[in-house]
Amino acid sequence: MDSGAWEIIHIPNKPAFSPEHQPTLKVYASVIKPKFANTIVRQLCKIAPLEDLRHVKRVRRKILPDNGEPQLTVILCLAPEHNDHSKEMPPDVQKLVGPYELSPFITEVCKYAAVSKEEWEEQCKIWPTSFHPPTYNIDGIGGFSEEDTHSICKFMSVAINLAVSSHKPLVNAAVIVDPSVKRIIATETDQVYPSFPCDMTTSETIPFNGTGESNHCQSIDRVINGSSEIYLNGVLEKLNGSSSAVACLNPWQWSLQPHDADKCSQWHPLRHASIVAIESSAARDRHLFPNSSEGFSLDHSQPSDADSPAKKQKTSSNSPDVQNDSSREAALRDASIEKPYLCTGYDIFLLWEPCTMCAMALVHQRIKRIFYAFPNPTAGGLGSVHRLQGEKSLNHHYAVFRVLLPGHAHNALEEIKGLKHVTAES
Amino acid sequence: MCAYCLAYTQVNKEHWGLQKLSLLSAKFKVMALVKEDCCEESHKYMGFALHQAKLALEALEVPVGCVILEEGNIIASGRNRTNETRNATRHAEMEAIDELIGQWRKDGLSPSQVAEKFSKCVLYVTCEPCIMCASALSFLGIKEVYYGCGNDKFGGCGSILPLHIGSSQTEEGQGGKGYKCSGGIMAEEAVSLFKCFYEQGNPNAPKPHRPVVQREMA
Repeated sequence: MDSGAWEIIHIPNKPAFSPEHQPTLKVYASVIKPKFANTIVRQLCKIAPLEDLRHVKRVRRKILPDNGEPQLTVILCLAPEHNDHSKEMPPDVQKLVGPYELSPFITEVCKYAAVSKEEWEEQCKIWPTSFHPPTYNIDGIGGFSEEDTHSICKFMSVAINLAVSSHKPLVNAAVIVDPSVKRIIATETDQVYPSFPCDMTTSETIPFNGTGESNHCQSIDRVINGSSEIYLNGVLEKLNGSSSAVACLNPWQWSLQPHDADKCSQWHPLRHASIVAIESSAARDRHLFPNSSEGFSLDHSQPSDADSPAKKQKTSSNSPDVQNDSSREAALRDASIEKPYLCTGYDIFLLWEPCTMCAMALVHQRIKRIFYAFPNPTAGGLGSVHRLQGEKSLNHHYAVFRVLLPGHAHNALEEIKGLKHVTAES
Repeated sequence: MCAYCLAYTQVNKEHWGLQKLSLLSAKFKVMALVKEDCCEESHKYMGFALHQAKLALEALEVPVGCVILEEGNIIASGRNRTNETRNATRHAEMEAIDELIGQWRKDGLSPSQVAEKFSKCVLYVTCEPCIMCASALSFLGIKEVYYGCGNDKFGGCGSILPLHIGSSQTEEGQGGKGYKCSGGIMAEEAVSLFKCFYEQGNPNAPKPHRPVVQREMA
């Protein structure tokens, strides 16, 4: 692999297995006579549906080598995982054995649907499965265009620059981006330790005025205009320094910090970069679209009119009493700025994989894609310790990508092996 | 287990009926009641948390409320403010925690003193802390958590992830702290507030499944 190139890898919603070592489940199966096939399958679908194994084919058809005749084998039902003979097949299935001359045996099928053609080919050696190439509507899982890769690298550079330049001990940085217009929504760093100067503009309240916006734009332009490789070379050396102050890596260590009461009092054990960035983007939302929901929530004695919420929002964002603010006016004029619902459709760029608290915060705020550079083996919520993108019960799921920095082989950080590479390095 | 708890649950189950709760059962399941000697005390504190949840409901927020105790005294309270702030992380627990940290910082407490304080704090919250809040409570090193109904979509105290147990990685002292956690305290009341909320509809959801109906003012 070219260590001088950027690379983006998808972190899937289940742990990565090599195609040859995929987890399996035990099932009862039986060879059946072809004339019974339809009846048996219809009955089995009723009495023993394979709910979580939709990728597994119920019937296997094999041509016998000795006589060239096709042989049909059907999955009857799930079998106990351990050799526990007390658990037999359910009575309903048992009843089919006599009439249809079944001879049940235990075999294995792959537990998860294949995510790649390689996985699928290996699965079918065990028991046939179906394979649907990813059709997610989240961009990037199937690979990034050159242009997308370019802008992802640029936004990651913004995060790296933020993390190393504004703070003495290394911290995590978060950049929230609206990818549809390539606009930076928020840039923040950890605020767990009071190590930054008090007068920094990015603390707590961010001025959402025209100049603030243009500053962000300048910072992107600077990165884009310069050669990213040269720009990063000096930065990557700094990344080899101590990461003990990175909030998501050491979330339980906040109380060990030395305290100087005279200094800045803005430390907070939970103000990890993602949390601060979410707050920042919510503040921007309230600032740019002041009327859409607050009047609603605060003044509940006011009878709500019969308008649908969508219509209400539209009316309020066009209301003429919004004044005295250039960016707000610009927002109202600029059709490309739509009122966001939380961070729907937005990306976040982080130097380190977020901890479980931050990963869940990003679920709540409806982030669409997460890009991080380094894994978080102590508390990571996106694959290292927990894997929230794979928790089915959650009401929102983002796509997660790791961005391998150029020259990453030289820094001492842990390497993830065996993951599917989705960006062609073409 | 005090008789009051049992009687109360039974009456309520009959009152609501399982079908009426079916809307909610998928999202917030009613937990079995905890065996508590000090049932009366936990009900008293949960009552204050429920009051916070009602304030959230009146403000058209998802009705979750909490209080934090230090040596039996309520030192902070919070309620959901996700709609008002347009910040979906502003859960009741986060509101109460921020109130405390703000106060303690103002008082000039050092981080280690704040950690010492949290290690003596008890949280009462009307619904099982979500994965985010359950993690946060572990980071802070809180002593104990009592919650009302379980949360089988987001729960971080056992329903989805058991974050209250803490992590087993203790090498270099990086391990997460666990905390004692008990659920099911006045769960029926917590669930009935959710029921009210979902019946009135969430005005801030992007495309509401149910139209927002005007609230009947009590």
